[in-house]
This record gives sequence, C-alpha cells and structure tokens, in this order.
Amino acid sequence: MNDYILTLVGNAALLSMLAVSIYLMVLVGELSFGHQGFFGIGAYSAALVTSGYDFNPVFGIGAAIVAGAISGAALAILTVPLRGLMFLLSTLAFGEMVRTGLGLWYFDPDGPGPKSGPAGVEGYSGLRFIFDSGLGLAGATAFVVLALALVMIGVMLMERTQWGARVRAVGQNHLLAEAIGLRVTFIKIAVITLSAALAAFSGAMFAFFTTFIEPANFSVMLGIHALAYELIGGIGHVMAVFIGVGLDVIVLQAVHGLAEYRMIIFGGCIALLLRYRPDGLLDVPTVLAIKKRLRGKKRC
Amino acid sequence: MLRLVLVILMLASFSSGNVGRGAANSEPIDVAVTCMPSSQKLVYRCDVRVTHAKTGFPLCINGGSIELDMPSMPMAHQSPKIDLHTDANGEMKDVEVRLQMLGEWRVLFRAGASTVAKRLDFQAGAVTTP
Repeated sequence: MNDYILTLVGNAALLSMLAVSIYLMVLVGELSFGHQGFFGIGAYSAALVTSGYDFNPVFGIGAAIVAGAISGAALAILTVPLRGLMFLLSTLAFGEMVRTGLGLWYFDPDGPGPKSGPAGVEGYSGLRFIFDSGLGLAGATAFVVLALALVMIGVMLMERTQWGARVRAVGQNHLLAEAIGLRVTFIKIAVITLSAALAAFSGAMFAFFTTFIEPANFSVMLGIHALAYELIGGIGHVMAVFIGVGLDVIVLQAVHGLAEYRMIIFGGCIALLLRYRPDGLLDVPTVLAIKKRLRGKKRC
Repeated sequence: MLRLVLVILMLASFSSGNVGRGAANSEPIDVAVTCMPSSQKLVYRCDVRVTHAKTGFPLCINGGSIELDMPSMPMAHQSPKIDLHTDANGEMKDVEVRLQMLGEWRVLFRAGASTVAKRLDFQAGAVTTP
C-alpha cells in the first residue's frame, strides 16, 4: 500500500474517532461546535508528556484522556443548564478559547535529553513517536485503526447496557426521562465528559500520527466537519460515522477532478440531507429495519 | 472489556520501552520553500532549500520529502507526500505540487526525524508567506 493510501486511511480513522466523540454528544441530545478544543487539548497533552518530558506514549495517551475528561467535565458542569443554541454557542466559545490559548502558549521544558515544547502559533514540532518506535507509516496507521476499532467496540458495548438505554432516553426527551426518574443532569455531565475524553484521545493519536501540531489545526472548521460527518451518517448507529467520513475524505478527496468543487458538493450533500434525512442516512428507524431484515434472513 | 484494554495498554507499555527517548542526532535545520504558479490550475512549481538553522549555511540533505495539508482543516485536504531529490548543488528544485484548493497550506518538510513546517498562501497568481 502506498504512503498516500496509508495516510488517507489513518486520517479517515482519526476523523472517525472525533466524529464518534460527537456521536456520544448527539446520543445525549446535544450538538457541539467545540470538540476541536478537546482534540487540541489531547494532542498538546500527549505531545508534552512524550516529546517534552520523554515519557512512554502510553502515559501520553493517559494524560490526554485525563486532560480531556477534566476540561470536558468542567465545561459540562458550567453549560449543562443551557439548551439548544445557547449550549452550541458555549461549546463554540470553548473551542475558540482553547485554540487562542494554545497560540499563546510557549513552553520549553528543561532537563536532560532531547526536548521540545509548544511555541505559540508556530506550533509544536519534534513529535518523534513514529520515528522512535520504529512503527513507520504502516505501523502508525495500523495503530490508529486498532484504536478506532477498540473505541467502536467500546461504544457499541456501552449502548447495549442499561446505561446506554438511559443515555438515549435523555437524548430523545429529557423531560420525559426526568419524569421517569432518570438523573438527567448527571447523565449529561457524564456523557459530555466521556465524549471530551474520547476527543482528546483522538487528538493524542493525531499528534503521534502527524508529528507536527499547531493551534490552527484546532479551528472551528475541524469541529464543523466532525459534526457534519456524524449528521450525514446518522444517529442510529455508531458505525454511521464511516458514511460521512468516507464521503468526504475518501470519495471526494480521491476524485481529483472534483477538487475545486469539493466543498460545494460536500456542503450541498449536508443541505440535502438536512432537508430530506434530518437524522442522517442511518437514523434509528433505518437501523431497526436493517436489524429486522438481518434477523429474518438468519431464521431462514 | 476493561481487562482487555488494560492488558493491551500494558503490552504496549512494555513493548515500546524507550519510545520517547530518541536522540536528536541531526543538525538543526531550516527550510526555505518558494513556489510559483504553473500553467495548470492548482499546480505549482516549488524550490526547497535546506540550511543550517543557526549558521544559515546551505546543507545537502538526501532523502527529504514534503507533505502539504491545510492547517484550518487538517487531514481532510492532504496532498500526497512528495519525495525530494537533490541536484548537483545540493538543492531540491522544481518540485511539482498539486493542491486541492487555493488558500493557506502548511508545507511540512521531513528529513529523517527532522521536521520543519512552513506556511504558504497559494493563490491563483502568486504564492506568498502569510
């Protein structure tokens, strides 16, 4: 497999992971324009722990998850009373705050060994995981794909539990969920925290995979794209994110003749879907119909 | 499930031992990238010049490459990696770059474990540094 295909696959897996983190938000009935902020926090945390302080990447990933979860919980506690557009705007403000903050962050870790630190808008270079681990591009791509597979399995298992059913209940009608005794506020805070931790985890993977990160990477465009992938795919199943990512990153990017019109086509697809399939291509009724058909075939 | 994840993390921890402790074995480098539009749409010709980051002296580096990505939308507009070949003067010249759209792109130069990032604003008539 050539380097370009490997990079495309790795990129698609990373974007899918970020879209899955937004899927969790959608499950609980909220949208977010700020997940690029958690993604950035995860990327910088992992970079600082591994390239700045020479810790093993496992600790880098751990630090990213913890940093993402803490910032997610803080944002959730502050914003969970807000609904709809107000919540959306608060997440957007958070994302921009993180991006601007990273642009102001200069840090030069001292001590023995090769070190690197964030240099404001110039970004953070010297992330050497791929080189030092000997993984190469193929190994790094496999690493990212394996991480995505684990995340997908984790989310699918969570959805099968009673906890998953509660989350969906809150997402579909929070007033009804509250009326039947569910702790809506707690569930929302927990899911937003989990979603932020997952976005930070994918950010850590991004830092390892690309070896260079900068604040501009975490602009609102990234969050909008990730949200669009989720909305195109649908809220019926976590695997639906592959439809959105596949359409943009694989199909439209691969067809070079469409290069100039790519964003117009992508935007047009979103507009059409919002008009005719507001819950995405794989919405809940569609997923149930597919499952029913599959069960019917198995019986035969 | 949790146990499985823990086992995988532990294995990764043991197997990658010294992963974060590589040594910076190469000279600190800087890169100058200058590009000009070609007759084709979204195709540019670029010169890449590698110098010592502190002294500014030209360096001859074998086996470098450049990758282009849009910083504002990472991963979604990446161009294929371009391998660079040095000429007799040790300069890497006349690289053809194919973009997917106009705008600000990050050119990432890699040689071994050294990475240098430069930003360029590709427009139809000219390429400038933002």
